[in-house]
Amino acid sequence: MSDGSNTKNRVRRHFWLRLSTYILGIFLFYAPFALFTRTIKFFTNNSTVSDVHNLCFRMPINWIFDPSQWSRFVSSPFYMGFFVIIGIAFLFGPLFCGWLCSAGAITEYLSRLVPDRFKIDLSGKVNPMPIRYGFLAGYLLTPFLGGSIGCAFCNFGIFQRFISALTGDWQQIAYWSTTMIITTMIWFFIFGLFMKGGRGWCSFGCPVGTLQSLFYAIGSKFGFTHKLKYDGSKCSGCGACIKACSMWSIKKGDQGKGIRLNPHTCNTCLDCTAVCPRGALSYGTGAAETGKLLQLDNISVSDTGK
Amino acid sequence: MFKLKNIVMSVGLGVLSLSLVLGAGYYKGSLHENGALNLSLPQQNTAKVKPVTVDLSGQGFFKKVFQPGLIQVSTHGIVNNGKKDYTLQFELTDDSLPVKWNVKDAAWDEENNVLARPLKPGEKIGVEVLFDVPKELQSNPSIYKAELKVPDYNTKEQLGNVPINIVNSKMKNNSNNDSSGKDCCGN
Repeated sequence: MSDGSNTKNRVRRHFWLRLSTYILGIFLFYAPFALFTRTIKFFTNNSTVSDVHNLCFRMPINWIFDPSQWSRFVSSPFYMGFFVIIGIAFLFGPLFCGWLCSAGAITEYLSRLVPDRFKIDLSGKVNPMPIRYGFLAGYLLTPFLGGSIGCAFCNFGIFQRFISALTGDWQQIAYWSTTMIITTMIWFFIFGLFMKGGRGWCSFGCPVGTLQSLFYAIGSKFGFTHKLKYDGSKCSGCGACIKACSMWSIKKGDQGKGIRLNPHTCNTCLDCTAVCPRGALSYGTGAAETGKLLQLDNISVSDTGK
Repeated sequence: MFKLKNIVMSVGLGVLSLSLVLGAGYYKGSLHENGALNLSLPQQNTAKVKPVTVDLSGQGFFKKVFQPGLIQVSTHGIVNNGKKDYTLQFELTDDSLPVKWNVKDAAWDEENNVLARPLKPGEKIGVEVLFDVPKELQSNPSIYKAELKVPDYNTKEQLGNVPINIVNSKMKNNSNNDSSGKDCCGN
């Protein structure tokens, strides 16, 4: 079998695998299923109804710098989940974003159905890193300045309403507030369906993803952690990884040579490792190569990835 | 030079993003589109209960355009802080507006507005009430004034109550101006 058909098969398998885990994410966290939440509640003798709000990762971020809220972290086993995903991000990368967060995935997958000519393409033109860290900083500061942002602009909550409606509870999409309408327009349409990669909200405006990326970027400096790795000696410079990355985390290296990975925006979906025909990109422990430009004189990226 | 330009661009984008988030937070804080309440049952002092007031003039742009009449009052938690089980019933003292109750609990009895299972001590539930204000009432200064009463369905013991008001303060201000003798047609 040729390298090309091997790669095609690998990409196809990876596509279905990742889609399956996102569907699993719906069954684990979203009502009416919420199997993960129900299991935890079963063992903690809690009979309240389960939905995605139980496992909220956004509110705990608002509590980080507020000592009066710290007791809430231990008030519920669900808030401990916040530390779990941060720990996983440090050791293995933001796997929650890349494999389980259905609210982020829905726009990525649906955007594939929208023709490219209708999409906003900011990849290579705008660096998402300062924007997402600026967003995170604002998100952390807002409660101290009298603003309200935690629940107001929450795409998880809106996606829960979509799921509830699709499973028969239409009343969940009866009421819309101004901020819900704004969030849906930006997350689902402008930054979602009509943006290259379909993950503009994840790239620019998700504090949960940004915090995980921060810990991933720190963790990737250590050899014992899992990370996306780049072996320049195997890279042909075809640019397939740049094209495949929905988070715009891969760009051409300096002077068009090799590639450059940015752990601050990567969600470890590993689409890039699947499309790489020569195995130049891999995931595992080892030297912290991510984020470093490898100067390779013998290659040049021929495809800009557009 | 190129590196400096990149740094300046990055800092600029970061500051812009931060400002947008702060602005969004303030914007949300300035809106009064829905009501929220917490209830600790049984209430100790019902005279001191703060009413929930939703002001139609506090709606944001998109709410005003798409759904000005649909008002949500939600509870973040109705908690049984007593020492025995309660079977909660929910009543509104004024039924002049169409109302939909949304309680995500399999034991919710829609017909009688009753949570048909005992709420154990320490347990909590969430309730959302959707009021549909007809267009002709939306310009009234006082649209709706009622109390949400929570009795025990079996014993009829009154466990708590919260006043709920829906107003349009803009109309109230206009009517105040009218009564102060200003020419309303000049407004």
